[in-house]
Amino acid sequence: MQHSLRSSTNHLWLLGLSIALTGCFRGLFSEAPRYLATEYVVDKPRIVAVRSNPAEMVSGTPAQFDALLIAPKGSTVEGWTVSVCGLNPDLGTRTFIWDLLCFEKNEAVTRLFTASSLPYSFAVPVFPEVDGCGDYEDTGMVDTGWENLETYPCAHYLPLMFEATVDGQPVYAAGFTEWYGEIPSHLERGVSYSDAGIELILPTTATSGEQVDLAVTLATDATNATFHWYIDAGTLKETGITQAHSYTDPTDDFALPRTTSTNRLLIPKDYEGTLRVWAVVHEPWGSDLDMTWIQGEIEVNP
Amino acid sequence: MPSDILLKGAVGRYTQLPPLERYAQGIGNPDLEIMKAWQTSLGLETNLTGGLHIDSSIFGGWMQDLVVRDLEVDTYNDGDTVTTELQPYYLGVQGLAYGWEGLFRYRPSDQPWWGWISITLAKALRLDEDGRLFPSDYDMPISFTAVGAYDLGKDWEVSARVQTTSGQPFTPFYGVYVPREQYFTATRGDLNSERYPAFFRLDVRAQKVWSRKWVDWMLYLDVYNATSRANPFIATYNYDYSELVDIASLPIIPTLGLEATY
Repeated sequence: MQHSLRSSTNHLWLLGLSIALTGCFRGLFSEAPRYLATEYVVDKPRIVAVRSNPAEMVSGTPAQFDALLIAPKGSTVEGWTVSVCGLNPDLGTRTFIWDLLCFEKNEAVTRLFTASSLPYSFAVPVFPEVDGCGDYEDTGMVDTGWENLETYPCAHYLPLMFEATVDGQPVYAAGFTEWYGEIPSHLERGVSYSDAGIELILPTTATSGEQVDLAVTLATDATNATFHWYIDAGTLKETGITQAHSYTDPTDDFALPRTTSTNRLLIPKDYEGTLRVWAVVHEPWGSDLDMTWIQGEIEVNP
Repeated sequence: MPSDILLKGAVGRYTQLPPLERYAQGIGNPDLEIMKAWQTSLGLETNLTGGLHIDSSIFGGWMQDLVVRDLEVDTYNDGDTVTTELQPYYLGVQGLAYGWEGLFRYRPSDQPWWGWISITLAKALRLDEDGRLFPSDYDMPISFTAVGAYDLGKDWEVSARVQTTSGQPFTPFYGVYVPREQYFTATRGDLNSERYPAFFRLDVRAQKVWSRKWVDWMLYLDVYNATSRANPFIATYNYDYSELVDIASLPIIPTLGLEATY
């Protein structure tokens, strides 16, 4: 009995200590985790997708970069800068850089271009052919997502940084891609997400408080893709991330396969005016820069 | 000088070893030098009629080889793969600090209360080898403290202290979204280019003293941070680095005590 009483007293001390610590570290307990799936209402500028054409960089050849920046209405995009890290003009040794810390070394950063808007075309800087491509088997890395791939790409793998200035504040996104000294023979790919036709199906008008159906269709096999949704306001009943809901094989009427993902948007009762909707299709494998997106608008009346 | 004004000044040369862990081989920077500083101040003190005492000084300091903690990107190239890693790094910088401080004490002989106000206006800057000028971790442009006490009679006294300072500088991070991986990482902004919110704290105290035989007693109630304002001393970012989230700050802390002195 005495032991039990002592034990209870100890528990009271623990309770008191817990309360005290909760007071000291209240933020630790009150700040609930938030996830991308629930952060689909555009309340701050964000670059949510980036892509290039072609998806991989080849020394001295033209390329075009594009990005999807979503921002609250009235925001002003003042400019874009795209940089690569680790692309030394004398770089011969195959180099893989897997993280973005490299961008903290100013001397390692190459600015590709500065532009007032995207998409923007530019010439990839000239760098030498990459050495050390015969030891692919030792790397253990095989699947690059490309068709007809017989050897590991003889390329650098380097990070890209997209920086936009929105209302005076920097907004960043990053991606990784291969950098080839010369055009490789294996880059014969099928229809990429960037190339595929995309359609956003939504009503052109709606009333405040109404629930409307949304659908995005991609003219390729995107059954493994994830579909990200962003809206100006409201609630997405399927959250901000969905998967493919239907797939249709090519038919006589339509020669390409079609993949569709759907969502439902509940418009706020007090919302009026243009309500923007974006859908972004993320390629799960292959290049970071092979993605596509589309924007639509609903005119909301009271 | 008039007899009721004291002019004071000081010049000093100071040296100090950096903390061991900051220059030790392997974990610190063995190239660090001994920290050195020239410091000087000039001021005056005076007692005015009515119980007002004023102490006012200007000060300045020039420091060399101060140790600043930064982060360095280490690069490893094994001939096939270049990997990078962020490591703590200590660098020697030059420092400049200057400002003005004033202390105003008021203790009227015919009133049951007294108090003082302290004000400091200062800047503390650092200059690194690359010519970057940035605020020191301890840069506090404004610091204000006021203390007051009132004698209620019958050995009861209440007092309060208000303290407010500029927020501490910190190096901001900007979120970088990686669409392919669907996660946020961060890139660092300029060193110490942003500040935490201003610090504010109100402490209040009530006490009664009495004596019995050979024991002096004091009963007191202290309320630390009476407004329960969150003054974060540890903060981090939310998942996309768009908001600074404080994860540790002291709440209101009341203390009831009985003190015996014999």
